[in-house]
Amino acid sequence: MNEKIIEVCNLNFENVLTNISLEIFKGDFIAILGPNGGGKTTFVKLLLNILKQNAGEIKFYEDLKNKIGYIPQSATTVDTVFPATVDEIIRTAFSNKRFFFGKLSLEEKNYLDFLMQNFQIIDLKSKLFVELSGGQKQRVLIVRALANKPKLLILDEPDIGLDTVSQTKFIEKLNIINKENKTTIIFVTHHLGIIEKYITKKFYINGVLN
Amino acid sequence: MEIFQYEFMINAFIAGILIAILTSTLSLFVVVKRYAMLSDALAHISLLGVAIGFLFQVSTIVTAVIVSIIASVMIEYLRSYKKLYSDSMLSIFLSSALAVSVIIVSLSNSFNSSLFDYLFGSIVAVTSEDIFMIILFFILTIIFIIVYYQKLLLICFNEELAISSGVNVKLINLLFTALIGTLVAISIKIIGALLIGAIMIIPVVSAICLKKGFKTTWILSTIFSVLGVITGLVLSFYVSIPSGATIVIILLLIFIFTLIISKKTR
Repeated sequence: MNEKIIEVCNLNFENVLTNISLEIFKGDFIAILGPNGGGKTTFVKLLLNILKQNAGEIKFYEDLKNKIGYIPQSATTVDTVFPATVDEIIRTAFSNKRFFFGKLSLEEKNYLDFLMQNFQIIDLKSKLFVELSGGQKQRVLIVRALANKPKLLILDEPDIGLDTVSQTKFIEKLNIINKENKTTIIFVTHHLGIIEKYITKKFYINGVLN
Repeated sequence: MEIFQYEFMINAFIAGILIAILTSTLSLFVVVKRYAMLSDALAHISLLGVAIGFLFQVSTIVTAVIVSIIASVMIEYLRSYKKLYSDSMLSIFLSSALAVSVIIVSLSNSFNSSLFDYLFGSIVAVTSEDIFMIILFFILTIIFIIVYYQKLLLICFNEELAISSGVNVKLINLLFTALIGTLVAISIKIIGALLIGAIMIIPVVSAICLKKGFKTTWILSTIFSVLGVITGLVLSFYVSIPSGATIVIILLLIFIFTLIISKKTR
């Protein structure tokens, strides 16, 4: 049996979420579903400590510090003049580990190159992030999220702006990451679509969780 | 060269170049955070510190730094904890600080002309004490940037990503805002409270126009800033025009130039 990594007990947040409880196990591929404004993003932000709950508890059974990969909904709509290259954005994944002059280890460098090749962004390395298309931005963010070899990957509506072909490829890659690395994935979406055949659990949030 | 035969000009060059490097370094983060009004607000708040310094006849640079740091910490607290609109809050701080300054000045009108130096900047006003403060602050800022560069970049890119990565966003934002407050307070004597916003923002925006990566933008904005200060000081010396205003005009010309270059390369 898989080990439990997170337990959410009677979580309440303002008038958005009421008595949310669920358990997340290692290797789960979870879909969090619900209508727009139903509280899906709020739930994820509470998990990530971006927001503080009014009541309830979130228990972590494993130390996930620096081991959570996150793709927020807002990240692809970054300021149109933000002057950072794809490489600079990806390297912020290591911001907790190193100072400005710190270099990546050879292993980290090789792994980043492998990820960038796998997600077909290696040629975009020196391009400005803001100049990329929606799909390219999404791939950069997933590489950034995977750079630290996360144990938990949280994606908040990551398929918005992707065409059907890109969506399918993206979900298939997520499935490989989930199966091969035993990475737990929480996928927030308002429609199941093609992820349905890969997920192990689905939760529906509309103020309360079913 | 004649210009280097005067001690006050050597002081002005040392102070000006160090401030140019500091402003372009810290302002890059200010601009990309869309917080450009902060420098202007803190400049006016620093004036309050200067007025208090004159009133109690103590070092104006020290009182300006203290008042500016207190205000910057309050601004950051209200922005991040109380979630108040940043621009509206900055306007409130700016107007209130200016109002109190004017009252202090009118109550003891003996230092009106000295305060004028702080509004528009004066190269002859730079003392050894100022240079010492600037060098001290320069070292402090370099250490801060070496330690927090990656984290600051991530915060500017996306605060939520930074929090989820375990970055102490509130602490770094607080330290950063306090640094900006100190920078503005120690710079107004040479650049002037009314012009400090320009030297902080124009070189960065000029560099951003050239659409390069973050580090290259930083290097370019530092070059523009230093170029503006050196050219401005030389011109102000030989043509006898105010230093702060001359520096701003040079920076404006650089901005127009980069704007034209960026349109041609598009």
